[in-house]
Amino acid sequence: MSTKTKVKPKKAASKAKRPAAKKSAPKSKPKTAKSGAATARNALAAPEVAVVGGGLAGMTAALKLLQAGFKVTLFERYDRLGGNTSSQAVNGVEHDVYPHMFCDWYANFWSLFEQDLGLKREDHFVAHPGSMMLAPGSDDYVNMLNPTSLEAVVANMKSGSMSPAELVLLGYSGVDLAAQGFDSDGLNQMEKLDVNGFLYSRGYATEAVAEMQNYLLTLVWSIDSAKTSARTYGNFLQHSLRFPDHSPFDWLLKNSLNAGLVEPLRAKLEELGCSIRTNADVQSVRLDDDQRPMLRWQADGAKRTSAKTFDFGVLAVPSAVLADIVMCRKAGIGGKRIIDCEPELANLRRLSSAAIPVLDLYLKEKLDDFPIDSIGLAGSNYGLTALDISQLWPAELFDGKSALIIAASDGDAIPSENPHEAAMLMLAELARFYPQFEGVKHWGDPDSIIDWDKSHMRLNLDYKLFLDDTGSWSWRPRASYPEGLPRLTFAGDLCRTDVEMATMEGAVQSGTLAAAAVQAQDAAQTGKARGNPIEDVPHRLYSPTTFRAAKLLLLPAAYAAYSLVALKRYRAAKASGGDHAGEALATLIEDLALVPPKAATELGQGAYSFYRSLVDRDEEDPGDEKIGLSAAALMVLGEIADYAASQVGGEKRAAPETAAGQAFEGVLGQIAGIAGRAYGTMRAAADQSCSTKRRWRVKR
Amino acid sequence: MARTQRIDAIVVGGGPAGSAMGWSLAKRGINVAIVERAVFPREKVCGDFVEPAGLRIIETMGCTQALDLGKRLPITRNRVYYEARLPYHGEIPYYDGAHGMPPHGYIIPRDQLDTVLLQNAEDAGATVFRGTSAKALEREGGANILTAKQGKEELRIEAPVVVGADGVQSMVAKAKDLRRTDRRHIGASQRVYLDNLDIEEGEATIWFDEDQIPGYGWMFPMNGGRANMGIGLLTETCDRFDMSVQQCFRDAVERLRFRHPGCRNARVASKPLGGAVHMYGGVTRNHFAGGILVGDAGSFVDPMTGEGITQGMESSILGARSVAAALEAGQFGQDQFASFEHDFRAYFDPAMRYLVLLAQLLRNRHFHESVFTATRKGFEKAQVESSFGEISGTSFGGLNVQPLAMTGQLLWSLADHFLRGGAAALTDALRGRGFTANGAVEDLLAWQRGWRASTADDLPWHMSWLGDIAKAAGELGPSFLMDENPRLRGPFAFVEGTS
Ligand SMILES: Cc1cc2nc3c(=O)[nH]c(=O)nc-3n(C[C@H](O)[C@H](O)[C@H](O)COP(=O)(O)OP(=O)(O)OC[C@H]3O[C@@H](n4cnc5c(N)ncnc54)[C@H](O)[C@@H]3O)c2cc1C
Ligand SMILES: Cc1cc2nc3c(=O)[nH]c(=O)nc-3n(C[C@H](O)[C@H](O)[C@H](O)COP(=O)(O)OP(=O)(O)OC[C@H]3O[C@@H](n4cnc5c(N)ncnc54)[C@H](O)[C@@H]3O)c2cc1C
Repeated sequence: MSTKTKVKPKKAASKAKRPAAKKSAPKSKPKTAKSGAATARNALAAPEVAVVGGGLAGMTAALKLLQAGFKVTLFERYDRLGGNTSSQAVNGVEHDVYPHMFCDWYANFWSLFEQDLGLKREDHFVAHPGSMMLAPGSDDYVNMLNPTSLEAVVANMKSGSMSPAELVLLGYSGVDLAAQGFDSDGLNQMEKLDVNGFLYSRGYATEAVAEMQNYLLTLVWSIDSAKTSARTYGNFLQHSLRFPDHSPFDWLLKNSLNAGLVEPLRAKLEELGCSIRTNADVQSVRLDDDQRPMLRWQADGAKRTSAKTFDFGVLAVPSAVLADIVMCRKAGIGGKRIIDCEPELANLRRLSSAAIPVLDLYLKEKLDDFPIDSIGLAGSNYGLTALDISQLWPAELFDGKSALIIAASDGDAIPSENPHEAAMLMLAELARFYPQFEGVKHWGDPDSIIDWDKSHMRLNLDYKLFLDDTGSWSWRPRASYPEGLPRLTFAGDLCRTDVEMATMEGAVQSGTLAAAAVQAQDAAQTGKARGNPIEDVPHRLYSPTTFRAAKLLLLPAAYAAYSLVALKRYRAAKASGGDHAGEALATLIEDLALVPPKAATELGQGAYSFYRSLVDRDEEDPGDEKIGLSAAALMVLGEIADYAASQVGGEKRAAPETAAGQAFEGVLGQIAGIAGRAYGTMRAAADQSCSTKRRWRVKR
Repeated sequence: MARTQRIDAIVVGGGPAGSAMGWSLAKRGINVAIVERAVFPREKVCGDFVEPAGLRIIETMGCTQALDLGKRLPITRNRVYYEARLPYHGEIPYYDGAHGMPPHGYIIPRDQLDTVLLQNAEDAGATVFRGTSAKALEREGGANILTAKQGKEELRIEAPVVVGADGVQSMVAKAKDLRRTDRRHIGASQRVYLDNLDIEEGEATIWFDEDQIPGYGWMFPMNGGRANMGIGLLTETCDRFDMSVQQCFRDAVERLRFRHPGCRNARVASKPLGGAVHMYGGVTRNHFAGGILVGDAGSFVDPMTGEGITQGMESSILGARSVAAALEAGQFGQDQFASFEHDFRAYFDPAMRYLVLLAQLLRNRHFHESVFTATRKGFEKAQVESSFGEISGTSFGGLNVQPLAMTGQLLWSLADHFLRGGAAALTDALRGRGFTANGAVEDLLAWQRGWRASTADDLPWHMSWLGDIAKAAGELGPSFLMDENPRLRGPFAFVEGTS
């Protein structure tokens, strides 16, 4: 059990807690960085950690470990840090993997940005209430606000992307999914369920709801609802369903990822004395007799690989690379394979990811009235989205012209792997929505509004998005395996965190957890805690009890909406005439007849699970901070009162106007009208009785 | 080596709670010692107002004579300012002298009150160590060993029971890891003696200022144109909004000079002193292996008014029963003293839980407009409808707190207010007159401004505040179930009635 580093004097180890305080002259290894002088005395004592992978997860782990007084070397395969949040400079123009959306609830990310980097969110990001949708041949953008306020809920209902009844069902399916209590280790067979399977099991689901969920998932995560793990999506919904806190859905960076995020992070890492090795491709990690990671890497331009043994290692690479490193099929190198110490990791080979091709289109002109929000092009092939970065990034980069980022969420549908060919296919699809792009003949076609010198197409084959497919939870790595791998930890959006969906938040949280695990292992081995405790930031979300209560409350509305949809379908069938009218009527009767038993079953189940979560509170996930049912209920009541007060007070808050919206208003207006007439009658009656009283008094 | 004395019970602290405990135990024939740091008479930062329920206890303990209560001017009248307005000025209508309580309160400066009460405990048979500061409390072989300093001399007292009655900075609570630190339930205040006043002696003055919410200020008259004047605020709010109690206090003195015609030439006659109050909302366990906590040490202060003299004495009278029972049984484990928890909960919870809820509601400073209006209306109502005043508890100075009835009345008037106002607004809208502001709509909009400000300012805090309200509301069971507030008949009747 005794190891080489054990010789380090205990005193020095304890002093390593406050690195900056020491002033003694450097004794050795002053190479690292300028501020390294301050830590020189501890340099002897501080354990060396290798962080493999310079994405958000790796950078976060490195940062946290440096802050705690560890000596860190960060290995990155490419010349720039950032991984999936990196940018590539081509002809002096920065091209992001994709201009990311930073959700408001990314507590760990915001803490990294604001606390660790000391930057102000408002200075670097713009808040967005949600995203928009555009249908081909239309120039009517439809808002999809994040339902975090009553206004947004009402506006969504009015937005016309679906009928109000179907939107009720869509919303309800989200709450229903969030209210499910899936088991935490993901081993339960029956719960290895995809989103469609979940919807199929629900009595209220309709094809339109399933379509919409699929569309949303493809748009944001490039994965079919038929493949997305229901539990993971449910977990995401739990984090993002924050009605009614008025939070914006997301924030967009006002600059390229490299300039706005990666460079500040890199500067901070250097300031803390991190040794950063870019262009260093780590080829294998094996373990020595003391379970120390032995790294072997190929530096750019070097003839031979380099090797070094570290005290600890953090593996923060994408799933495919991680599987290779863990399996380490290479023969002829010393040390134990990781897989031999932790066989469970063989499952890493099952994890999958997808590339999202992204086309950066710089234009020769400015597109008028192009929205600032990201736009889903509804019904487009390849699942296209569009974002105008010229309204977001510093104006001097664009010279008054527009620049559109077109991403293909459903990249595998593009029938080409040649970048320019793929770009043309995407352009042709784009032209269905924006006729300005019609008739572009080839990449570089001068008779178009595209500035080809600045435009760029990336297939993103090396920057794949991790897919949260059904059943993958139990295959995803944990931050650490203290038994088998006491000196190795894992980070990355693929790791298990309480943000299950692959997001930057998951990456940052996992990096923090991996660093915390290294700190804990170091403390366990030396008996001394190094630095301030590394801790992740819990997310505030509603408790399962709250979701279950909300589900119960909404249930009647959901089945009413379901009946309405059935009725509408019947009317449509009848209106279309033909000989199917009888069939349609039979379907309607069938649908309606099933509503009471289905609703009753669901009510019973819902009530039972609500009761269970009231009884056994410990079921709640310890990772997140839960907002209790009663606080949630008060919050909702308050919001309703706020909304009512706005109506009474005559305040009008902007809501998008569409035809469906007006129709909806019509219904509301009618109800108000009836109520008004009823009230008027009552009031008149009251007035009369008043006057009789008065007369009677006068007489007296 | 210090000499060790062995007795039955040690009471640390000789304020109202400690003296009442010493007296109660001595009366039961228990060998008790009170250890008091100061040599009396000493100053204690306080408003010096003793409510009728407290006077009844003082009477029972036989201190009325010694305190010369007959010569003091009873407080029977009240002036209530809201900013510069004086919505109420006149008799306090609901002090009606029921259940052996006098129909008035008294201002008894604490140097006098505490001296008499402590002397009274000594006369009843308690040993009193004056000028003796408790330094350390240990538990050895089932006994408490208290080390104290009397001047240079060290004192060791050993007893199976120890009672912490040593105020907010309680060393006993600290030794047992029961010191309260939750700033949601800790008030901060500052007070001074004023002279050169031209005020009616039987008339108390209190005021509310919108920029000093949650909190209020008081001026309690004494003989010879003097008065005790001060303000109290919630510490949590001071932290969150960067408010300084000292600054608020200075403002309050200034404002008093132009607000109250009799205070124009008021002179500050003593050094302004600050003090903390640990309110009942923060109450946790008050018993431990070998003893209990009473008075301020146990957070028995009224969360709406900040009064704690009476509550401190009450907690002691209840606690004395548990102490006696433990000595009788010869059992001193934590479980043995759980009977105190049971007693004080049964006695205080019904009224206090309700007041805690009100205090929780007031905690959100963003709602200052609404809070201000609501308390003013409550006050106006309490002053003109004595039935409401009586049942509305110390929130408006009443005695027989009846949360159920009070909630009914409050809800009724709220509903009435908003229904009428809402109906009027709706009629106007329907008749095409457009939106017209009326009182109810104004109040609703004021509430809405508060809600929006609060959610925008600090949402996590806002949510946790809502959670606290829900929790406080969830603990209202005893309040709604009681027939009569036990405090109405007082601690002696309670102990008698439940033994
Ligand atoms: C197109 C796209 C759009 C996205 N949009 C969003 C969004 O809007 N919001 C959101 O929250 N998330 C989004 N994501 C997900 C988000 O980008 C990732 O979850 C996150 O960046 C993952 O960070 P990571 O550090 O875990 O992994 P990566 O960023 O993949 O980092 C891994 C790093 O390891 C390096 N590496 C690999 N192999 C080696 C090796 N052998 N040696 C050394 N280094 C190696 C890689 O070069 C890379 O830098 C998107 C992802 C993609 C692909
Ligand atoms: C500004 C202000 C105004 C107030 N106004 C009013 C009011 O108008 N009416 C009202 O009813 N209440 C009022 N209160 C509350 C009231 O002062 C307290 O609730 C009351 O004093 C509690 O009594 P007690 O016996 O528990 O504690 P205290 O009165 O604080 O007595 C504790 C005693 O213990 C002694 N002691 C402390 N530590 C030790 C030690 N280590 N060893 C030995 N002795 C020790 C102290 O010297 C002190 O004498 C006010 C409080 C403040 C701060």
